Amino acid sequence: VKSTHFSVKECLHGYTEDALGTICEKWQLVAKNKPSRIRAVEKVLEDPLHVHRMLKTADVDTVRMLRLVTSHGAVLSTDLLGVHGLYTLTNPLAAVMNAAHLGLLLACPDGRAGAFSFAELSREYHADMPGVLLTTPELVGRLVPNPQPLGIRVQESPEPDAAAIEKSVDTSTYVLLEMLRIVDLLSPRVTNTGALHKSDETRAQDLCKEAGLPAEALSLGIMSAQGLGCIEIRDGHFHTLQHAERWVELSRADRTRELFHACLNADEMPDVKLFLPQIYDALDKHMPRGSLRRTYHRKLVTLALSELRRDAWYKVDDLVETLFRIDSNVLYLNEKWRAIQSNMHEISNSWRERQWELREHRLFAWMIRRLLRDLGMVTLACEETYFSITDIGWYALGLADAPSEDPEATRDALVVQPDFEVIVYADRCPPKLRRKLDLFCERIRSGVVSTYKLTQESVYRGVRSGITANAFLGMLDQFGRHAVPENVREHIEGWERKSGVISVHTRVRLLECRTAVDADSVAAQCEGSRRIGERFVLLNGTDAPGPVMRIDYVQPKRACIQQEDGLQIRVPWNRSDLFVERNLAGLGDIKHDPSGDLIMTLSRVKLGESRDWGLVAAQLEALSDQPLSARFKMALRAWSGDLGSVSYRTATLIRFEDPDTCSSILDIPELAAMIEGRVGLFTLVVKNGQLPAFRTKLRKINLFVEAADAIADPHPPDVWAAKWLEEHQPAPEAPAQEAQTACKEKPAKRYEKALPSYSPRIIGEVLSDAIARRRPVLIEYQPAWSSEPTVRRVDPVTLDTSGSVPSLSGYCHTHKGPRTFKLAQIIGIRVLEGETY
Amino acid sequence: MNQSKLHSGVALIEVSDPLVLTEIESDTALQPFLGARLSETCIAVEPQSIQDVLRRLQALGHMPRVHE
Repeated sequence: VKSTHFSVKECLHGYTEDALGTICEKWQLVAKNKPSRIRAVEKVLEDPLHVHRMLKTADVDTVRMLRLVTSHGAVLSTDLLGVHGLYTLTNPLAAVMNAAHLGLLLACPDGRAGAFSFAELSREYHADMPGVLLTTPELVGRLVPNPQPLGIRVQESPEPDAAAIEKSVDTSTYVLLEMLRIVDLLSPRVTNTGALHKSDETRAQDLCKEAGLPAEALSLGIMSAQGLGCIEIRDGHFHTLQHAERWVELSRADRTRELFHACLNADEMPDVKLFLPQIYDALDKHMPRGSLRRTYHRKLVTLALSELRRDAWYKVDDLVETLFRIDSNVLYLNEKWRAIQSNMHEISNSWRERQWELREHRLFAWMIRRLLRDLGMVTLACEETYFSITDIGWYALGLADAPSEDPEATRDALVVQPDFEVIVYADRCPPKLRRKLDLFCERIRSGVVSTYKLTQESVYRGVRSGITANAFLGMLDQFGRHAVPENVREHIEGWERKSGVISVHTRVRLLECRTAVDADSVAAQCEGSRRIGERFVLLNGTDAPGPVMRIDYVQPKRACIQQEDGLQIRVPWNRSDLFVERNLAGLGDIKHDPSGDLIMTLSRVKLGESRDWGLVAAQLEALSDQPLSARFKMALRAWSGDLGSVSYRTATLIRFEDPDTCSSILDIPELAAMIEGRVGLFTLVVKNGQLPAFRTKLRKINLFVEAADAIADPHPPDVWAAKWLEEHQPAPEAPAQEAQTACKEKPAKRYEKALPSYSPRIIGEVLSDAIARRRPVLIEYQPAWSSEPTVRRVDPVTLDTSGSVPSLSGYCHTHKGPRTFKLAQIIGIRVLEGETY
Repeated sequence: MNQSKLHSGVALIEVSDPLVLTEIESDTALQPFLGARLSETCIAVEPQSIQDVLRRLQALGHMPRVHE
């Protein structure tokens, strides 16, 4: 049973006093004010005896609805009322209200729009306002009994003639095997929306067509394979997973059951898209992923099937009519969603005439006639008019044991020819054999008698999937009419040997020790680990013992070099990754000091003259956490011949006491005319022969120029320039300064789970209760100066609600000092019940 | 015990014959993706470039076995 992370008390805090009063009344609790009502209700909802008694007396619709909510953790009220066919044939709102009035269904505190009242459950919501998030107390999740049948009645039909009954086939396994083969062959790319890349989809469709599958098989097959866990999206491509090999090994009944449940619970809706392409985008948008409504149509059919009688025959149309009687709006096409209308593309007349009702009817009929028939869950008769659920179908529905199956044929399924061709008889070929053939061979021709070809590349592909050539050959022997020809066997074994020459391990955990002795010790301590070279240990799942520096190669590269004196660069041992030495080796001479640090000295010989100095500087800068020092750049430029010439001239310099005077001189035109340039902050260069005139002019403004020996700045520009900039920078405005300080001192991070969120008034109540009981709180605070809320731990001291801006004062552990918080800016709060201050 | 260093998420090429590794190291198309040689038969590879490395190895006539 899943559960949300909100406690009963946190949920109840968000209720109005009246709503709490209603719950108290139902439980016959006497409590006068809100805090005492919360305490009383919390107590009964956390008492197994009370909850068990109440669940026992609750009506069956309510129990079914609670079961549905507990299996999902939390459900939006619109979602819950939208899928009412799964728990009631009468009044869904009554079932929801009953449970809510008893507190067995709780409104989660995730909204800011006032307190929760029961009237909100009956309000009409739309797509942008999805309703109240509902959950059940943890105890209800554990104690809710298995629901009774809903009582769906479908009219039975007489049993058709044996001649009119179609043979049950296992087409779905065949479709899924084709999907796995397509994914193995193409590794199709996936777009950001989860759809297949257009060109890959076209190629996949071609392969489907070659295999004789209908056009819709691709999307349905991908959906099922994903739901089964046989394929996954990795690095933007679909890849097959090991579970595929396990799935094909299952019995037919188990394969069907897994496949059926994968289809049933899949969030994707290719079936809806098939019948309602015009409004699919709008439906997809209005029913977000995870919504119960995305799978409602499939689950409703399943529910109706599970209430049919065993061995009885039914008309497909009768079942569909029954579904419409349970809920005439399964796909929400009657909803007043203006957005659906506006999102409809190429709206046709037939659509305006509500032809979609017919399409919805066809969708349900298709689910029986194609989806369930292909799974082997139903048998059809009289040109698909009637159906009956098979033994496998009852097993997949979870209402019967697995039927006994005929043992698989072990011979005569294939013939391996000496020319590496494999002739396969599809009707005798079990799925596990078919899967191995798809992995190890190239298919030349498909059909009842298929032809495969064993090639070096196809065998490599098979071996890469993790199956040994021996296992494959064993299977060929087991299912073959004759033994595998000797030349074929030798070649396959030879190809496998060659494929084992190079092994590539992707994303491993490798421990580097300082000495071989340490590596020995680690390898002995870590089970399943393996030594590589002298100092490395390849870990297999276990954690590394002792203090460990971690270098993560999934993250972008970290700065690891330090700029030393001269043209030396140091890479400390604990920061160097496995690539830095090779990267630096092309730039200079490498050596290691006794501590294991790597020292690289830039070398003109290694760099050569043809290297672009800018690229080398960028390469070094990318590895450094500080800008590359000028001396490195100068050396690189000089070696690449990009530095140009250096010139000199004797000039007269005038140095002033402060930079402002120096700047003022340049503002006086008659003085500025005598100046050639400025050197640094304090010094001007006087034009040749202009010194006497310049001195005279300065004397007139009471500035006397004297000859001096030391005229240069006492410190390098790095010192005085930074100081000057600091002094002359405009003072930042107060709030910005506060923001900077706060950012520096506060390493606050987002709390991984959302905190309960209430209106400011309820937050005030929660805080006042926490202050009274001296409980610290976690608050998610939205500061005025930042768009990013932060979570802080606060010991609340006083609550000021007298002014126009209600606020909380307390000790903030994040800032390690007293702080004041505006209630309106607290967007989440959790009282730390187990602690005190 | 002295401090150790955990390289997490790195890729490796491991060969059964050291000469094959020398051949790989001397291939100019593979060099940009290679890191430290950890032993006679093992070398580090940039995990982000693993597909390029596999393609190049196949082009060189090898058939690497991938362990994920």
